[in-house]
Amino acid sequence: MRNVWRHMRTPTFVRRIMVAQMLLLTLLWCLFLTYVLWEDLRSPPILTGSKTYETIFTVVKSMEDHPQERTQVLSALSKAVRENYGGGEDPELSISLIVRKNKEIIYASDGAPAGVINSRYGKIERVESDGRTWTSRTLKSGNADTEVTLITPAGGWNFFIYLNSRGYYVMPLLVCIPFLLFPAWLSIRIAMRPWHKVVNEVSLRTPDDLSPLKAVPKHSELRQMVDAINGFLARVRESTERERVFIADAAHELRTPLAAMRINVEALQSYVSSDRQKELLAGIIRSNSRAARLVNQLLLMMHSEARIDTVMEPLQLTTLIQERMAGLAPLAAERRIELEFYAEEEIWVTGVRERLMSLIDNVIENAVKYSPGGGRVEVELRSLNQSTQLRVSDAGPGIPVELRERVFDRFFRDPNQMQSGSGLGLAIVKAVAQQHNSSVSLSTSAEGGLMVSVNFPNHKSA
Amino acid sequence: MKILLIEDDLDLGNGVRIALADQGFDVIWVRRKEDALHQLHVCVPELVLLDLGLPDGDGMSLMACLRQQHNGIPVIILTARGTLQDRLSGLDAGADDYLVKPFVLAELLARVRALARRSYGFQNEAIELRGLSLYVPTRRVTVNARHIELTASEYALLETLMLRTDRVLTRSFLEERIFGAKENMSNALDVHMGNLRRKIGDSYVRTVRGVGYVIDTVPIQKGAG
Repeated sequence: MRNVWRHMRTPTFVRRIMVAQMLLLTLLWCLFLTYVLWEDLRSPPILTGSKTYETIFTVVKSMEDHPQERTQVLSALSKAVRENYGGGEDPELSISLIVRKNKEIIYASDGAPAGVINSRYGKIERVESDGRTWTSRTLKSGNADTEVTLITPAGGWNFFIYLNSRGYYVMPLLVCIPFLLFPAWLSIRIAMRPWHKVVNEVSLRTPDDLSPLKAVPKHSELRQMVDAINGFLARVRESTERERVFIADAAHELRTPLAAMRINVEALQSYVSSDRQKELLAGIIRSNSRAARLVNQLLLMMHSEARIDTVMEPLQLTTLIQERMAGLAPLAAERRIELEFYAEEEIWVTGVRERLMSLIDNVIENAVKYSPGGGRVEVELRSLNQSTQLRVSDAGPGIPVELRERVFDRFFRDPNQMQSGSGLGLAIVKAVAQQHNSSVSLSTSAEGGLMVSVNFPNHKSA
Repeated sequence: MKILLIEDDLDLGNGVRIALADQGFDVIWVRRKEDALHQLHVCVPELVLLDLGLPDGDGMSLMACLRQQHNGIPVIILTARGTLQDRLSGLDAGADDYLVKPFVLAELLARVRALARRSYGFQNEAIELRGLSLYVPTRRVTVNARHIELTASEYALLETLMLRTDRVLTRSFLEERIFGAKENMSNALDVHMGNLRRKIGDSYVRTVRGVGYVIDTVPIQKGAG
């Protein structure tokens, strides 16, 4: 019950439109009704018509010789007219009848304002009498001796009595409203369908996808909104692109001074003799390598996130991994780590060469870096039913289960990890994998270290 | 050996100059394109180190100039731009090798030596490594002064590896080098490698499992430490 109430309280567009529609409809109806009734009141049809008058003339004329019966008939007639008018027997609320013959009143309804006398025949006039306003009309008979006057009260508040007696005008509206509600609701729902399409597309967006909305509706109102969203997306895209270019430029600019620093220190190394000096220089070189690596990783990150649509092409993944491993062999040799690659055959994937290169480099470099000296890093590529799996396992310390999600965040590092690193490696791996509709998962390797698995979707050969 | 270094960054240029001079190279260092063009005529270097990001004119246009006028001189490009596209366009323009900043001195020296050897060293110099000698002009191979008879494929394999010591050469690279583009049996490379190892001894060529082969200048002690 409470839920229903809450649901009712949340504003919805459909309801808003419906309420507006209903209110407007009722208002228009009321205005129209008021106009019609007001007009009726000002010149009541019973006064403007001549049939009532003629009936009375006929009665007066044919019953001239029986005044008693005439009065009875006129009295009955007056009652009938009053009933029809709907104001009851009170002359202040209802119609009254006065019949004169040769200027003498021969009949007047109960309580009829006897002072009301029209100055002109045949015209509806407003007459003041007994401190009230009346609307009246008097007609003369053909032989001009009988005058019949019909009088209705003309006070403003009489309108409401009149309205009360004309209830049948309001009824249709009350009866109609429920029947109007459903079609209105349905038609609004149907009309809003294109809206839902746009909502769907927006809600399915990933935060990385800043490309313009593809569903451009034909409807001008909705198109305005989609255009506005697209404009906004374009501005966001532009600003992130600017930011990316800035970071990439900064990283580029850092490369030359880093290179200069490195080469100078390395040249200096051959001139120093004491171990202490050598140790200090080695420290500079290590820091320099770290900075250089960070700059490289930043550039890779910026590249792997770049929105510029790069062409996905079929690639020989096995050969690519071989090449990258050959490139990383010196690093492994330096740490006396044995690199091994197991692949049965050439496996093709669809992807962007350069980005896949950075994915492979990062996964294997990580494994090499965290392996103990003299350890083994196993790279395995195999074809599964649905996908192609790349697995890189090391014998390093691994990553605790509770941190396995977080290590994919930028600059996040295992707090217990002593190895220096940029904290960007796995973030790059994840970004690249996502672009290739692939998934990355971390688990424990057979040797107790970390195993990184990347699942590529199978290449669909044309 | 004369090396022309074209690098506009003061510290980097000076560092490279001193480092290379310490290794016995004769380095001429210029910082502008015009000076580079002038020096190319005056002192005729045997190798050019070219920074692609020169202030007065694109390094790439200088590269084109070099290739037109001094076709034989090997060129190593130094650049801060390291994407595959940049690398390929550098090599397409006629560079022989490519180093991305920041580079390690050892890597620079290795590249310089390899290029120098490729273009000048073959005539008079044997490639020598821990008792294994390779005379490129005569295709003669000796181990501890003992002559070894190799088949054409085995020799090609050894030469390819010896000219690129410390670099792991992938199986596909070696297969293409030795057998050409033609179809070959998947294990032909292993067969030739097995034969080669039997003839020269196991200690020279190291296998990187699943990846390829390498000849290390300094052998790696496995499992030590």
